[in-house]
Formats: sequence, structure tokens, C-alpha cells
Amino acid sequence: MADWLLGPKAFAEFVTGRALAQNPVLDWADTLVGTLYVSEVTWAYVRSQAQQEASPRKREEWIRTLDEQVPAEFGPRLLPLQRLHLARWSEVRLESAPSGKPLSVTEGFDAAICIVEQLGYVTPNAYLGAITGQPVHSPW
Amino acid sequence: MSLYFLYEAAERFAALDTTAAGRVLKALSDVQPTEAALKKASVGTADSADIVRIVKAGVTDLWLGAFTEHEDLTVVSLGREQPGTQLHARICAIARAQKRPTVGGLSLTEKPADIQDSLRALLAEHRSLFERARAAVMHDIQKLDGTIQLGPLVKDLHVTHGVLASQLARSARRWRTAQARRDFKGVLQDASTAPQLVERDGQEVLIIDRDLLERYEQPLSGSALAARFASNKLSPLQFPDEDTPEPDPEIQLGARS
Repeated sequence: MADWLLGPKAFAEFVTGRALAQNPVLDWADTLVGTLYVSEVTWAYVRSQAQQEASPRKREEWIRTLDEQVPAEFGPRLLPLQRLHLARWSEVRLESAPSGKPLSVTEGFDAAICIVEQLGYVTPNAYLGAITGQPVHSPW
Repeated sequence: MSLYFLYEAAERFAALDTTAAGRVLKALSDVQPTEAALKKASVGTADSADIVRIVKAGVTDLWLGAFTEHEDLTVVSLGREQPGTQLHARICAIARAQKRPTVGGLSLTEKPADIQDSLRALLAEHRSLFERARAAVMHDIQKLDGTIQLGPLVKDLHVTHGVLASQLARSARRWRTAQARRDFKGVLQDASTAPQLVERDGQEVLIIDRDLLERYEQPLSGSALAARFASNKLSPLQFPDEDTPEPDPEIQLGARS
């Protein structure tokens, strides 16, 4: 598996940069030969988290990074949802986590994209591998 | 509510005589989800399983789902199977299956013999599918030679020639001429983060920052992308839902609300 889709937590840490004392996502990505993708759904979810940042300055930094740097650097690897993904999502959303909780909306869409696009998924939730049928990697 | 028939249970059900099959269907209709959670054999469903949808899982397994507006999950096991591990394997197979045709809608109130007929047909079709899939997998393994099977969108990105224009158009923000004229500064500003497409007299004019165009022509590898973001110093965001990773897969039997 050469190509990976970043889940919300992985994507946020990837974008955070080296502000974190340790950034396992960047460390892992540094070693990658393949490529990284992120879905527009995850992008929007992280943007929504950033909106909740208490400090206006930090919030602005996040929004600017997500609105400008991410689309510019990821380019076409910021993946939009297409009907094929939605068809798969209509089935995936019926699955649940081992705890019985339904998949989150973001995870559900990401799982559908992973299935259709044959991408591995970067997430702490290993059970998603059973749902996508694709590899799951947790760099943490 | 969803019913997950273990494969062996489906086979066994299809082989039952009509009276026994009727008893099973009655049990499925009568048993409450909470009771189902406690039972190991012949477990049932909730009160209103109107529609039984039969879905073929693809390569190795079969998944039968009964759906209503309820969100309960009930595993149906009619024998000595180990539902937990087998259902997990089943879900893996369902997930991998790229094609899951629905074979029709059945009601639990239909004649048991009719439901059994549908199941037999499905099982037969499944066996045939399985054989074909196995043959295809063997063929793929022989010719795979390290190449990766890619999905439609990602595949586009690996074959840049001839698809660049469609990629750009797909990612573009669209403007009407008047709108673009009014906010031309905005068009130029946004062109650094996404292609901007201005529609004018049936023609489409694409405006894109040169650096971004290069990214479309030659996307960065994972490590190169990591280098671009490494110098960021953003404050970490909190993700309450993902702070505690879910435990490893372990199937929950019975109902969930």
C-alpha cells in the first residue's frame, strides 16, 4: 500500500507542524514513498474544530492554513466526494464501532473513499480496517 | 434493525423443512432485541422487520440484512457457530466487496418456502460468484507484480496526461461573468488555492496560480508534503471523539440502540 488517506486526527496533527513536541504523523510521513490524501469532509471537520479555538489569533492561523496552504499544497489530493463514494457510504454508515457506537459522519465518508479509491487510512481506530477492507495505520 | 445471518445459518435455514423454517421466521419476528442479545441460538429481531434485504457480500461471504428504521443489530445463528469471530470476518468481506447487489425485498411475513427459495437461489449464485472471484484473485496475484489497484479518482491522479483539465474543472470554483467582474480581486486571490472557472458566453475561462498548477501537474509525495507542513507552528486541536481509540474489533451480539 503506497497511498494513504489522512483521518481527522492525523490530518490535524500533520497540518499542526512541529509545534508539537512530538509529531508522530509527520515523523511517519517523512518516511513515506507513496502519497497522502485528505478528503474534503475531513478538511471541513478539522476546520469546524478550528472554529472552536478560543484564541482569535490561533483560530485565524488555523483557518488561514486550512483555506490557503492546504488546498495549495495538497492540490488534487484534497479529494471531493463523488457519487461512487456516496453509494459506498450508504452501506458503510450501517456499520458500527466495536463499542456499538455508529461510525462518525467523517469516518463513514472517509471509509467509503478508502474503499472506492483503494487507500489505506491513517487513524487511531484500528477497527476501521475491518470496515474498509484496506490497511489502517496508527502512527501514535 | 439489521439482521446478520451467518453463512452457515443461511445454509441451514435454506435446508430446513417448511414448518421448521416457519418457526425460525416466527422467532425472528417475535423476539425482542434485548432478548436476542442474550440468546445464542435462533435469535430474533425486533417488532417490525418489514423488509428483509438480501445482500451478497462478494468474495467469500453472504450478508443478509433486515432493515427497518430501527438501528438494532441482531446476529442470527442457528447452529454451533462462533458468531463473534465469524461475523467479524463477514464484515471484513462485506467491506471488501466492491459490488453488493440487492436481490430483492422480502417480508418476514411471506411464506417460509418463498423465503427459503430466495435464499437457495442466492446461495447458489453466491457459490458461483465465489468460484469466479477466487479464479480472478488467483489470476490477479499472478499478474500483480507489485502494482496497486487504484480507484477512479486516485487513478486519475496517477495518469496526469489527458485528465488535468478535468481535474482542474472538478476542483474549480465557478463564477458568472458579472460576479467575477465585480470581484476580480477575489477571483485572483482564490486562484492561489483552487482553480477559478469563469463562464462567459458559453466559454469557460480557467484562472489558476502557477504554483498550484504545478501541484496539479506534479503532486508532492508524502514526505515532500510533510516537509512543507513541518515548519507550521499551529496550536494543537482537540478531538474528543478520537482521543480514546476504539478497542480492537470484537463483535457485539444483539441489539444496540
